[in-house]
Amino acid sequence: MRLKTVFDGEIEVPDSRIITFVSPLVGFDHLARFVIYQRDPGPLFWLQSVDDSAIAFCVVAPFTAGIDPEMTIDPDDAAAIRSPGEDDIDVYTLVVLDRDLDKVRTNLRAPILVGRQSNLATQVILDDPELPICYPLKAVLTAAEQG
Amino acid sequence: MLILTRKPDQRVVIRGDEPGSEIVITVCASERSGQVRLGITAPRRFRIFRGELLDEVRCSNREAVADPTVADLIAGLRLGPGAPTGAPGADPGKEKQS
Repeated sequence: MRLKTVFDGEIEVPDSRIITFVSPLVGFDHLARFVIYQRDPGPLFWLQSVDDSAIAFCVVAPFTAGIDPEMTIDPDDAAAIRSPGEDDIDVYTLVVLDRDLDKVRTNLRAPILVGRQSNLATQVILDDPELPICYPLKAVLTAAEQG
Repeated sequence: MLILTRKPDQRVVIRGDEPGSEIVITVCASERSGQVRLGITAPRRFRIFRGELLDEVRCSNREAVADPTVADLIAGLRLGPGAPTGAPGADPGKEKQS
């Protein structure tokens, strides 16, 4: 399908790349379908809404970006996205961008789980108070830039 | 908002139409400090959160809506050449636009 995006105009996306939230992003109950894509290789992706072309989020894949947060996936959450388990699940966390690199941060407390086979997604809120809602990304992004 | 007055050990039951959609909230104790301890039972499909945490996540989600004016910022970050490519295994970077 042709997808209108906030950052890249119209792009062509195979229908198989559309993910559907079984429980919505908190505060965005009306948006179920998204596409995750990136223009350039790196730790950041766009999470572009299919239902509202004006809404896109920046997300990071914390486990490939080297953040490696200590989180475990609850089997109930895996079941909710009809996923057989961890090996089938991609984890992303929402990034708040800021002109001040020191303020760019990601919310490790409420990751997005995406089942690769099912293309279903959910935002879970983890019980662990050790996981920061504002995890600074400067170190990760600086390391990425230096290659 | 429905407001009920309950004593310790008394319950409030919320029942949905579907079978097995019953939520029971029990007042376990109210303390002098003004805090109230609640016991909650609900089917597994209901997630239970402290309201403030949900508020925090909602607020953080809203902040994360990307402002189109940050496009140049992302370009500035160059999305990190040298960093691992794609999502774990799925490599969504591969089949972006054509």
